[in-house]
Amino acid sequence: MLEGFMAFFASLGFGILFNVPKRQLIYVAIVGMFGGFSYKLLLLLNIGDIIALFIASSIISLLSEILARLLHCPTTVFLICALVPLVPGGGMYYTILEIVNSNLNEALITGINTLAQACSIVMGCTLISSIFYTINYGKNKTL
Amino acid sequence: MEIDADYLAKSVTKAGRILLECGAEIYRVEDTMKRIALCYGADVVDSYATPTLLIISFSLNGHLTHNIKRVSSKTVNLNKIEEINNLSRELSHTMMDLDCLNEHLDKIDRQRDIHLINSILGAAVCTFGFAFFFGGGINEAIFAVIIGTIVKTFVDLLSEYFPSSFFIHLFASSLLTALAIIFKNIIPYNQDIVIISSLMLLVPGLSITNAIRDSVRGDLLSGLSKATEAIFIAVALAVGSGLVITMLGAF
Repeated sequence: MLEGFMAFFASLGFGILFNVPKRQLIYVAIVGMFGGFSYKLLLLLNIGDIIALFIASSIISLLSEILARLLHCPTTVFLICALVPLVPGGGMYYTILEIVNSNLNEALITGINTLAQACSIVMGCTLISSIFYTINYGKNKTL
Repeated sequence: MEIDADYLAKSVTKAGRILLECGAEIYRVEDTMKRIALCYGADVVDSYATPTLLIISFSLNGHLTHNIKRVSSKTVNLNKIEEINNLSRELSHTMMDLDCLNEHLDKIDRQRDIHLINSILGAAVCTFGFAFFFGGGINEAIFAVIIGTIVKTFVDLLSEYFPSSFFIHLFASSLLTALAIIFKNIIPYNQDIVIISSLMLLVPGLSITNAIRDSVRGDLLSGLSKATEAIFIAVALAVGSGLVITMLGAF
């Protein structure tokens, strides 16, 4: 479970790479940590990989949208760096490994699983973004 | 105060161009351009943006003005996005001279992108965190940091001369896989974790996030093109590391 906290450094690193303003850097890392931690925690509670990723990415999006409004800063600043640790890079790599070892059945299983994980991250993020877009919609209608 | 329509159109597109080049979402680009034009008394304002093209059209003092801008360069600089966002917010509270606005925009535009030192530092911190996140120990972390910094330097240097992001990511992922396999012969470690941790550096996080956010807002064209970009890069990463594992697999 402590592994989840290491998402702090992963998000912090991406924050530096993407030139996040210095004031927001610590918030970016904290949002990333919450995402990573909740993901690992849900896995520990025996909730499936896909649901865990869905919930974790929803939490990240929610925190990003709230922080963006509190700190008057674009949501993407938080969202991009915090969401990266959840991207199923491992699944992608193992899929390739199975293909290289010509275990096509295993490759198909891992590949579809990876795709499902990616989709669940997208779904979680889309859900929260849509809710906040709907809330904002009435406010900006005059523009 | 009489405002020159051409000058306003140029300033508006400059703001849009900076935003788009730094990786802002489409709705933010369109919204900012529209707001700036409205602030200076233009009406019937229409703005349109795709990841590579900007269009603004408005009427000022009865004259219709249009401007089209082709945008190409691709870097991620969230600092610039935040500053333009602040500038646009400031503009809606206090009226600013058009010359003054242009000065601010030029100042933001001239800002350097990330230094190589910062970029290496970022890569080191990032891969260090990932190595533990994926269940590795201190051995894996050390080698992930070494490989990550080498690959990041390689990508940064290469992207100045190489326009194709597909080839850059292909080379980078083959390089990192090769390094991971070679270093394993010096000190034994879990090769998979090291490769995945450094591979995460190259994952197209920006394209994925922007594809989602653009699609949610109904900018489906931009959402699709960002998603395509992400898939292209993912394929390049997979092919690069797959090739090297096939060739060096015997080690």
